[in-house]
Amino acid sequence: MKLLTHNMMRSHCKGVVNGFPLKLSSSQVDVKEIEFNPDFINRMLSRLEWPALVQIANQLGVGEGLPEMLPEEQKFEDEDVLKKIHHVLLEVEVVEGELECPETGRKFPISKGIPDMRLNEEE
Amino acid sequence: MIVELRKSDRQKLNMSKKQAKKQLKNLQRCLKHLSALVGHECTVSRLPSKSILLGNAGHANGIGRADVVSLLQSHLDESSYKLYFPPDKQFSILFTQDICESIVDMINATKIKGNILYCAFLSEDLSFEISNEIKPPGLKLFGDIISEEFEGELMELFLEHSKNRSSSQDELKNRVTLHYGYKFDYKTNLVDLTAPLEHPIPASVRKVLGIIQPHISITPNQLTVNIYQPGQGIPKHVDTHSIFTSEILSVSLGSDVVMDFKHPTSGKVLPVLLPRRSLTVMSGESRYLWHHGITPRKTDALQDVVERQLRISLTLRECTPDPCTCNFPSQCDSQNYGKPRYSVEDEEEGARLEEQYVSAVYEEIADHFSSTRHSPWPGVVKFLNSLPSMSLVVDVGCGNGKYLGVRSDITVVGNDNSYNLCSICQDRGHEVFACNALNIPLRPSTCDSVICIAMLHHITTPQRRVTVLENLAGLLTPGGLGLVTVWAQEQHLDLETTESCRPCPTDGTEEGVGRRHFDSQDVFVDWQLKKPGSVPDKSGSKLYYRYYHVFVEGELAGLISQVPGVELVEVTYEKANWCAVFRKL
Repeated sequence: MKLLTHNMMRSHCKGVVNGFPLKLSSSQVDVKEIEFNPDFINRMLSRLEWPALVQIANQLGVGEGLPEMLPEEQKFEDEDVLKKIHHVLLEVEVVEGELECPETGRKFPISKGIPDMRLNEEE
Repeated sequence: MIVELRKSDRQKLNMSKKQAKKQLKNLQRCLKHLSALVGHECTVSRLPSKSILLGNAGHANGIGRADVVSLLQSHLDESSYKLYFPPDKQFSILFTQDICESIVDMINATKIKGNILYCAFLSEDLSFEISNEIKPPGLKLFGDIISEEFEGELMELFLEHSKNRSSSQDELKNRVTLHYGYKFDYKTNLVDLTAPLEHPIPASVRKVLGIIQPHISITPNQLTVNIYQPGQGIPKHVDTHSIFTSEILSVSLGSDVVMDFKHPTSGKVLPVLLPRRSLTVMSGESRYLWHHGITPRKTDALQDVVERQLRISLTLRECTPDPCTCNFPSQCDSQNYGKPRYSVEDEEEGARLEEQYVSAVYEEIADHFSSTRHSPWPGVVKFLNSLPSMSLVVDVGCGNGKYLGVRSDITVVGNDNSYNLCSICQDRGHEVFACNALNIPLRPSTCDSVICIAMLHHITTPQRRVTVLENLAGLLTPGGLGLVTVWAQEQHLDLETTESCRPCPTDGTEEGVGRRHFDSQDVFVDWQLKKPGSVPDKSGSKLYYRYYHVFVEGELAGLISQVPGVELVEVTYEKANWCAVFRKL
């Protein structure tokens, strides 16, 4: 699971208000090199929940150099910053771990890189 | 088909050309029957092989194993070959351990019990799988479960009962039956649970139940005793699903008999020898799917011809008021033989059907399914190619991920309800998570585009289909496009066009099963699960059913119109699928 996916996800348990961000605990995190595309990163910025991204990146120890705030125009010019965001969003992958709904505490395992977000019909 | 009777053989036999022609026809008929048995075309060959067709040396010619063994004894060591006798056919098959080039010349055109043997190498080595050790899945046999003495006592008891009518009995056309516990009604094939019989299961049969206890998992409450005179049988049938539970038990007394099991779709017949004093347990496929019966005849033969004796079978079953929920709806009266009586409206029932006939099945067939889904469908590729560079796309119901890597300049995140299909995507380097399309764990308005290919037709109720479409729409940013494709009930609308006049390739339609005919919109579609690397032999495969709601013209557009905040862009029909594009407002 890439951190882009984590940032897009929210809990979908019954009765949840925001369900975001999902808490993460991880026992294996890998890095996979992905081709850098600054335009894609800038395009994604407006979709991201920035504080949640910074928080999870810091938690995983990959947040260094990530700006605390998003500029008003939701765009970065500095290529080093964009590369840093690219790395955090697309190259860092949680392989083994667990996601947890912030409101209900329902846990979702991540195994071999795949979060299992399936709920029972009544959940 | 290379079949000919050589002139030298004809002369050796003093056979006229006309007789030779008749022989040739016989042989061709043998090949036809053999092809049907093994599930693909069999031909004979001039080149030696390890499988040899022995025409005119089958059970239908009155020839058994012993006859062929004695014919072969001066040529082949008995331990170096096996024989296969298909039931009631005019041929047998000789399997040799090694290729024996001279065997055909040595035994061809010899006489065996008044028949002229005609033999030929088969052009491929058939596997032993067609030999008679193969049983339908789920069938278990336990030999020598009772002593001869006890067998005698039981037979005496039921012969007595059949005379003095101290039980509920039926004189059927072809056999006498006695019933205990409950009466089986041969008109309805049901049991009236409100009317237990005054005759309970006899004490001696209770003793039998004690003996077989370790082998069974049901608690029988109904006994049907069948008394078969030599020459009598029972027509092929499946015991009614709704009224009997998961196992059907049968104890054989007095005589061995061959019971035939027939697969309802492939037509494959597996004869199984039920020895006297044995217990047969039918469970799984053998109980729910295969039809079983006993051919009325006086002799049986698997390897040797055996005369039948008086045989009494004790059929022990457990009656239940609960409907059957087996995985074989085509044979199931509780499930209306695979044809839903009505569209599913009830949410709970819909969810149950999706779990049993979609989710659970895809988990099982994921690998085989994926191996048949390799070429991306042009319509979907065209849609993806129309998207702006650097788009973020979500593929809901991504299957084996064949659309996740179509373009390198867009990012596609996939999800599927099948964890095993997700694993296949992950192994291919794609970003995926497992979730149900009815409840997608993504924040709203995050994606440029969303695709949902050949998935919505697995959703069982109109309300649930709208929910899926609402979920798709919710993911889109304003202006974002969604593509949904579903299987069409109308399967041939485009056959006039030149493109689709070509024969349908395996993966030609999105569903990849070729064109079908649907009587109803709610259907079960079978999936023959083949074990990896196995030959296309039906016995190596398992049958699954997937639920589909096939769409009629206008239906998809109608559903989209119920989704707030989107507009329909276009609906097209391509290769037996309805495809709709919609835009988020």
